[in-house]
Amino acid sequence: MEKRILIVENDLEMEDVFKEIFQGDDYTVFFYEETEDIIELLEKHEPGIVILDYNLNGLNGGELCKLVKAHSKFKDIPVLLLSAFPKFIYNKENVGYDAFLEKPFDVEELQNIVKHKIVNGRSK
Amino acid sequence: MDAQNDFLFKYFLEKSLYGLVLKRQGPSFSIYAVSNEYLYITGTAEENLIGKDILDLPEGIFPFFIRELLHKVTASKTETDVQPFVFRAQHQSENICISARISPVLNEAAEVVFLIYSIKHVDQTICTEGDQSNRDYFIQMIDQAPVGIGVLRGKEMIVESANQILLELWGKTKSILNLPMKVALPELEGQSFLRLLEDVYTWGEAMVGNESKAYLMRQGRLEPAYFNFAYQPLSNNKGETTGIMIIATDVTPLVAIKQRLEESVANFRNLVMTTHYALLVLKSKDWIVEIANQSLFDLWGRQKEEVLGLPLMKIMPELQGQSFQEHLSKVYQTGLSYGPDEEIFFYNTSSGIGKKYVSFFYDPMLDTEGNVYGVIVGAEDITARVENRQKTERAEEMLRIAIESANLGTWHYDPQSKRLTVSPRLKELFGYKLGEEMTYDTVIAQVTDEYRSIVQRAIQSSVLKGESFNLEFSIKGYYDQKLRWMRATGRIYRDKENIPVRFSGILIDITEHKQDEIRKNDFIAMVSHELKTPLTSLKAYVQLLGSKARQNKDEAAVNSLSKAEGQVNKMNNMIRSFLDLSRLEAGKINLEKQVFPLDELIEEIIEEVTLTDKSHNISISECASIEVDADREKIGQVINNLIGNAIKYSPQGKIVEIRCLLIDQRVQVSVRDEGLGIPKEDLAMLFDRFYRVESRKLKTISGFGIGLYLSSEIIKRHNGQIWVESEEGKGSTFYFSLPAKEPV
Repeated sequence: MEKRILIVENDLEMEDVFKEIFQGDDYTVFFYEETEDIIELLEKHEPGIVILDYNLNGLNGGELCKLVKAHSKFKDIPVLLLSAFPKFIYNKENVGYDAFLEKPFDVEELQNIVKHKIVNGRSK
Repeated sequence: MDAQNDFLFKYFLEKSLYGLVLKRQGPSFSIYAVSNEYLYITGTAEENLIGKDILDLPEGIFPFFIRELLHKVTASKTETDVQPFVFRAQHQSENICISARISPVLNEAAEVVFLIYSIKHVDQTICTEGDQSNRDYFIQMIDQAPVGIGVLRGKEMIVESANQILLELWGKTKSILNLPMKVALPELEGQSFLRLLEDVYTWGEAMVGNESKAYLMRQGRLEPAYFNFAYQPLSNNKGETTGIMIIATDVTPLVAIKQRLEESVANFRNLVMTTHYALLVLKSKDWIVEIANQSLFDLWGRQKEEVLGLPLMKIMPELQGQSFQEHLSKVYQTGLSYGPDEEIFFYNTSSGIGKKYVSFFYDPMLDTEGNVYGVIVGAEDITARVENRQKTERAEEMLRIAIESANLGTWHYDPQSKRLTVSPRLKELFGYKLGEEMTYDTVIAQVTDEYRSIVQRAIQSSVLKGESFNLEFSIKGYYDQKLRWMRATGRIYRDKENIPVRFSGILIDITEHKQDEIRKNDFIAMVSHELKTPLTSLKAYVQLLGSKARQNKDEAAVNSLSKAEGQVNKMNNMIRSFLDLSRLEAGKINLEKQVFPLDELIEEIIEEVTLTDKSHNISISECASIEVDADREKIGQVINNLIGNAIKYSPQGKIVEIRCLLIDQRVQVSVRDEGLGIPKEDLAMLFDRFYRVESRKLKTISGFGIGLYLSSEIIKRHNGQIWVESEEGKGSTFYFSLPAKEPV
């Protein structure tokens, strides 16, 4: 079963890293540097999990997460927020993320979160 | 009238009962004819009287008081009777009682030419009756006299009479009349008066007393009184003393006044001599010192002998040219008082010129014509006071300059009246116009939301607990709403009863500094963030390679990559601590409290640490199951830091021992190592920012000295304490304590 991962991350270096991490295991990674319309991307890729970096050009990861969680159709898609800042900085904002990882993260931890959180069966 | 008739007339007269015929002779009268009776009574021969002017006759022949009456009759030309009177005639041993009549004889021109002075020997009783009326009159007079008068009779001193005043003076009533003195005034027993009276009686000599003190029973009380008195002996015809007349006045009030006067004079003298004010009385145009007290000698630095009786300018020639000379002259000229509050007074001393500050008054002494005959000079040495004031003024001036040049605002707050007083600069800082009132409430409202309760709490604990007030906070301008950063420091001032009376301090505008700091913190945050970005991919690659090497069983690669990952983690930790610091300093560390078991957190951390460090023996030796209400992640950070330090600063194979205890409702966590230990001189500053112990041994150990600072800040924000015990060469034990969660 195909597992789709939508990633928005402005460090282009990370595209290869993610692809390497999720190589095999039926994972498909959709990598974007930034987006103005996360819903459009969700419509387009129907991911089983969304990984958002916090610091982005344009809308930041937190704002994107809010949009996902506010959307009736996509609100159940798990969101993993990544940031080089520690978690407590974002605690007040309550954007509704499902998991948080501080950069630099542990590859294994990331794989575990995705493995457990990803929504199955959203294949085209 | 012819000569024969004249003879007959005279003869008739001689035989008749009439006394004398007086012929007018100028202003006086001469005796024209004398009756035999008159010659008999007076025992005189006719030839000694006929033709004699009455003014030449002695009292015993012609009573002096009759002379006066003759003139009255001459003037009134009416017959006049003279009341019976006692006549002690010449050559007679006994008094006789006679009555008399004076009759004028007029000529054709109605002028008095003769007076007929006829006398009649009357019964003795008539004269006595006169005595009686005189006596009544006398008694009446005594009663009305403004002095106490009384008569004592006989050797027993029986109070025969006493006027009201004397009775009052004795404090007695009429009931004592006819009682002996001893019985009437028994309180006199033992006092000198009874004996005095006896002496007067015995010797017949009058006695007087002045302001004599007597104790008298008045209104039931024995009280002292002062009298002026006279004891006058009364004697009978034979000159024997039969009684004593007492005349007395009560001078008690007078004596009291006199005593008070004497006392007040003495007091005044004492006052003058002992007062700490220097007093001086100058007399005459030469300003001669008549009176001066010790304080004045001290003020002048002169001895008594150098001052008294000498002219002022001789005593103190240095006064020449000083203001005092002028003041004195003016008071002498104008007769008006003068009193300068503060004058500088220069005087000669053995070691040079002395300088004193003095407050003066000059009061003229005026004679009855209003001329100044002297001056009273009072002076107070206020040198110490003036110098103190000048010192205070200088200090205040310096403080004012300091405050103004530092652009500091100052404030005073009275916790009782809730009144706030501020300096103009402070008003400016808060964005008020100069004349506008600032109140405690408007000030608090201007503090931004995030700091308002912090400021209020700090003020409260300052006022209530006396903690010093030292706080940075942001405010919004009263009109412009512009954000400004302030730093306020202050403390509470208490009165003698320990009641807080004033809460005051200073305020500094730290906006610029704060903005710099914000920029710096933002910069650090940005740098850390940017540094972490390449580290993220680096770590991921190292880990991916690592797992591949493990799959390929390439032990050498696994080993190297594990070390590489360790270095990445170390670097990440350093960057992270910078980020933490910047967040902390920006005041952006918020505690996310939750109730959790502290022992579980400790176990988790030890487990985690043991995964990466297998070279030390890390163990919990004792830990009770204790719940705390705290920020789990941050407390974890602290424990991590303490264990990390223990590992970092102790040789491999050593023990790191963790304990947690519940002591007085506080959880106390300790991390003990057997490491290098910390030199004594470094212990105090160990928790300061960027502080690292300088030592050759430590040169190889990395770190920025942020960890303990962060830990202590986190613990402080939890109302906890952090401290260390250490001995160089033996190891250290770090402690922190937190309030335990209160049992529900």
